[in-house]
Amino acid sequence: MNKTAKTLALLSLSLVLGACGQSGAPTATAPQGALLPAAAHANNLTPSRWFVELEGDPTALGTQSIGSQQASFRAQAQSLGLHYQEVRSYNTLFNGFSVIATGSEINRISRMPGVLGVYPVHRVDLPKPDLQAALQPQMFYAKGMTGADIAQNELGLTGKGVKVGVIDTGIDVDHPAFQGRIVAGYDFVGDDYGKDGKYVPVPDDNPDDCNGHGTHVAGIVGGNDPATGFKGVAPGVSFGAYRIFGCEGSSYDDVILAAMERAQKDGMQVINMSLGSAFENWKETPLAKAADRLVKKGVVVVASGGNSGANGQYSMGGPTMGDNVISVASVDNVKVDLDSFTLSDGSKVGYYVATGAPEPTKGLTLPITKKPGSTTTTPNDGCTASGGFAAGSLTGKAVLIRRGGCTFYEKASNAQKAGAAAVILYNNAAGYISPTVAGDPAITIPVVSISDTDGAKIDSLLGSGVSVTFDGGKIAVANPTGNTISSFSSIGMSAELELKPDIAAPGGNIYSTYPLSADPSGYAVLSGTSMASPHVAGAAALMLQAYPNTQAKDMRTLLMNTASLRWFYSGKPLEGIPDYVQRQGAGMVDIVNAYENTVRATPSKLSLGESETFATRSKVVVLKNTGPRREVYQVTHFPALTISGTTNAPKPSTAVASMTINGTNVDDGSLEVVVPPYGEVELNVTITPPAGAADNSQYGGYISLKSAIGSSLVVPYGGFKGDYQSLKSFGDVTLDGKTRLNFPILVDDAADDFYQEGQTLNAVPDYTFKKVEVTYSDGTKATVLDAPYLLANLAHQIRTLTFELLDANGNVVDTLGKYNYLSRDCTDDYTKTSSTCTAFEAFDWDGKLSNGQDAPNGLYQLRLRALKPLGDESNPAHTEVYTSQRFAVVR
Amino acid sequence: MKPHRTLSFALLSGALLLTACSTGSTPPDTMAPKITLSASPKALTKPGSVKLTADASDNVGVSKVEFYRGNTKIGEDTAAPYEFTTTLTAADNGTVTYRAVASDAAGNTAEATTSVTVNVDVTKPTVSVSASPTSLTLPGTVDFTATASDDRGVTKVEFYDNGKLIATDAQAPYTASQTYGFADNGQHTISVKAYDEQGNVGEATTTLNVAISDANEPNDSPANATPLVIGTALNGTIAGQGRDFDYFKFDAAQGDMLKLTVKSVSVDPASTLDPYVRILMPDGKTVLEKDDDSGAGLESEIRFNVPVAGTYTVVVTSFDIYDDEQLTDDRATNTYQILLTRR
Repeated sequence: MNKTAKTLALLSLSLVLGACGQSGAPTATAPQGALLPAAAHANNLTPSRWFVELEGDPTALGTQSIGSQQASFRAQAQSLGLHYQEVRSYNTLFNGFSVIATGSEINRISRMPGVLGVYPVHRVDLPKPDLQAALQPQMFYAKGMTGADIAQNELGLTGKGVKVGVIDTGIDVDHPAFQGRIVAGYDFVGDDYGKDGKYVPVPDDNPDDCNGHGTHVAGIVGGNDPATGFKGVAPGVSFGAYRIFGCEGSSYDDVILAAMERAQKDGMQVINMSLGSAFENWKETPLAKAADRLVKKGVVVVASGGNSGANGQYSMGGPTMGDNVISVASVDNVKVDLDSFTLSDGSKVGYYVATGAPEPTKGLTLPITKKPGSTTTTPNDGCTASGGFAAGSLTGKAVLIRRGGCTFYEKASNAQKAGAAAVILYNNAAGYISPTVAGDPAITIPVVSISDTDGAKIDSLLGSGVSVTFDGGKIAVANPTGNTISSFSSIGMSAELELKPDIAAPGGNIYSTYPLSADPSGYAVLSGTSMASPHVAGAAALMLQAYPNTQAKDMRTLLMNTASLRWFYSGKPLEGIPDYVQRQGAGMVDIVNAYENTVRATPSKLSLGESETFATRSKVVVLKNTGPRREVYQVTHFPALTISGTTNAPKPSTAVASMTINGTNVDDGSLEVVVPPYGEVELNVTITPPAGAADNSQYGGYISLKSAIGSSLVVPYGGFKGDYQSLKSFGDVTLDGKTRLNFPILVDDAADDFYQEGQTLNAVPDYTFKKVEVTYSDGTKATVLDAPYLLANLAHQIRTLTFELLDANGNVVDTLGKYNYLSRDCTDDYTKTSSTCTAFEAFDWDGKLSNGQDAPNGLYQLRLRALKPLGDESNPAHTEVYTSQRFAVVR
Repeated sequence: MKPHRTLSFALLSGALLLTACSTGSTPPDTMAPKITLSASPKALTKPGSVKLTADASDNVGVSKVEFYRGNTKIGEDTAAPYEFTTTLTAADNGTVTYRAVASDAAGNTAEATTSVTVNVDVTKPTVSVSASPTSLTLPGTVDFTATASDDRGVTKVEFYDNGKLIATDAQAPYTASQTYGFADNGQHTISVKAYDEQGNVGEATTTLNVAISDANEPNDSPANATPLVIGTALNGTIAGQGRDFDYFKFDAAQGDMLKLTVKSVSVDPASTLDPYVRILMPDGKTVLEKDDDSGAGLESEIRFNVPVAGTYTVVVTSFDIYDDEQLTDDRATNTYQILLTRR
């Protein structure tokens, strides 16, 4: 399945770090004759996987009656001439089947009597974090960031006696960090699940990890390796290992649900789920609902927020959206691990190898030079415009070049032409960059990049002569983005404007255990919210050891209250300016403060909804002291940056809300609040959305309670400025990264043409519903059904999408499909799509009516109606409608 | 009847002989009277009187006519017209034969007989009764249907609830309906009496169980929301139907500082309810606050400050019902206590 246009079955794919930015191209009228790229065509002959749910509650109906109901469905489907492949039938989780069928067949199945609904069987992709080379165990800085080291060493907390379930790729059962501590587990899938796109579960009792992700996650929760001294957050916990991914590939909802049930039955007190489906930010999805119910049953559920931050707002999804689930964002580690070279003065310098150039050979030693006259302020060092380098001037040398003025490729190419043996690029701003020098002709010499400060240092040494030796070393350097929210961390809120994520934890560049089979050292560095979630799961285990009576539903409050805010990163952390609430929740988990704090602030977060409804929002926060000490707080309003810009390309705005507490304005001044021993105090809060913020922006901030002697507290709030239902459901799309087209479009594959929304056609397109061979613009051939279909970019989540067939006069002939709780598309730029980042969805029609009969020849239209999230069906402004051009059915 | 007749004749002959011996000077009157007997009506299907009329004559004169039923004399008449009226009931069902004997002064007699067919209805109607529904867990109307039949015809059916007449229906189908509320909780014996024209009564009973656990019902929509009084707790139940939503309402002024709690197990340890609560703005749609588990355990607690004056609606249901459009949660043990207080 390499097609990017997919039927809805593949709407939700997850947790991928790929960057799909906004092109920023202006809207323009499409040139006549624009063609749909070959790969963008909907393959309406390709089937995918669906759940078909039949009427009747499986818990109430007997197996026999379910059996006969299912048999009658099969008979009826046969009589209607439906083609589908039955994969599995269910009678406990729900009453129905999973089937493989094409989009149009499933649309017809959805309209059969007795069918309650059809749902895409969601594929949940294995999170693919960035694997970096293993380093020494003491490099586990992240433990210091959360206070886990103090908890272990000073507070004596290890999580001993607490059971933590890890639903993931399994755990390396042979790894010394887990010996004797995996007390329960199951492999629901087998090694080959998902291999070559085949999902045939082969369960067994051994949840061993052949991928690495689960072992890494479990190591963060509570690995404990006596040989290396490596310890996770809660090194005393017992583990349940629930393997729902094969060695590669993805997994499906149904398997994950089974794992969740089993983990609960096995008595897991905390369950970590470092998985999800990006953009599926509804609490109504099966996994989010199931996760929510686990919390009600007394299990703390912690889940990763997602790695789609680069794809903009409303990019979270998966079990993390459950109301009571602790949803975790990622914070970059304070240190990063770089390759290093050694200068002739003996000092080590960390570097990144540029993409598109070879790595330096180990042992290579070169004298360093630079362009005569270049300084640490030269704006266009090595650029062609500045004259490049004199021919032969760099032969046998490494050349130091300052960033700026032209592309990295241009600089490297000029150096290469001048005979350089290597290029050392240094930054013209703080921190490190990871440059690319790909180009034609290719760069054949090693190109590395170093920080601005290291560049200045080498520059200063050049006068007395300095050489570089690439000795294969490693160095841990302060990470410029350390302690700030990782750029990949997904952005909330939920589709229903619930504030998510809840909390943050280290997830960028995290060192933890890795299967011995994959890396003999048994350790690796990975990045992702997958790594952040287990930090919080470990923290929850420590709290359960310290306070065994903590109810599962209260764990989030306990951890959120004492979290500490992360500053916005823009070249450097902007101290005092909190990053978006919708990206960090309450901030980074602070285990020591969570342990020591005796005052609970509830609710632990305030979801304010849209400002159109509530111009000023009034909320009550209760401070309850469970301890004997009188606590005194200075209460202030601490606004975070507002998310302005667009869904796909958010921009920070400093327009912020204003707040009063107990009648006192706390925007500038503060209010002293005293919480007596074992007493409680109310904060009556009013929040007025930022007048200066653009409509459709998300604002947020914090009620900050500063304590002089105890733990300080925060309560985050978040809201939507303006009319939430004014966010567009259907977006425009660029196919080439430049020209924006008016989507949705009606596609005519047989004519290799498509018709934009609102476009006036000279002739009525016709469709024969026969298979035809087409040759696309790029020469690829395909056999397609000459049938009309729509491609629509879902610019925002949709509550209910109805796909209808109309006659020429606009009267409804038939409902072709109805879909609930839809994800938005990842991007509006087709050039940025990938197997996990879609720009549009296909809506197929096979020419048949609900009764299975062919629609008679004549003129028709296709229509999409989108009921927006939180929309009121009776309010026409809350439903967005697209109607295609008229087309002819000519059989 | 032949033997009867032979016997009568024998007696008469004896009388004749006696008479003949007693007369002296005048020639003896030896001519017997003439008599015929009729009955009206000749047939009876319901209890009633039958008039026997004897038409008797004699050459000298009829002195009397005596009426007999069988051998039992039931009356006599000495003057024409010779009539006697008697009453027949279901006890006489069958053929009743009457005899009239006319006598003259000389003692001559003559007799005649007639018969009446009596067929009075004694069969009770057959009847059964059903209630739909047979039990009530929410206030509502119960329909009672009686199926009654009779060989001669049913004249009416009476419906009783615990002995109290609630309806009479004279035409099939025989139905009645009655509305029940919380105050009617308990076992109700529904009895019916089916009558025929003779007053024969067929009876049947069924039972109706009224077990409305929620005194506030019906409160399934904003239109019939139960008023909440600040400081007064109300008990309710999420039950009686698959997906029960209980509506309450209260008026509040801007700035009112209130607290709404919906408790389950802390009030009733046997409660099975995990309440889910929403407070709607005066527009009846917009959710001001919602809460699942902010109280103790799975109970709900919402502290809020009223944004504008108006009538607010509270919707209470179970978490299962809220969470899944397909799920039902209808347990009589889904009890809760709702309380609105000022803070």
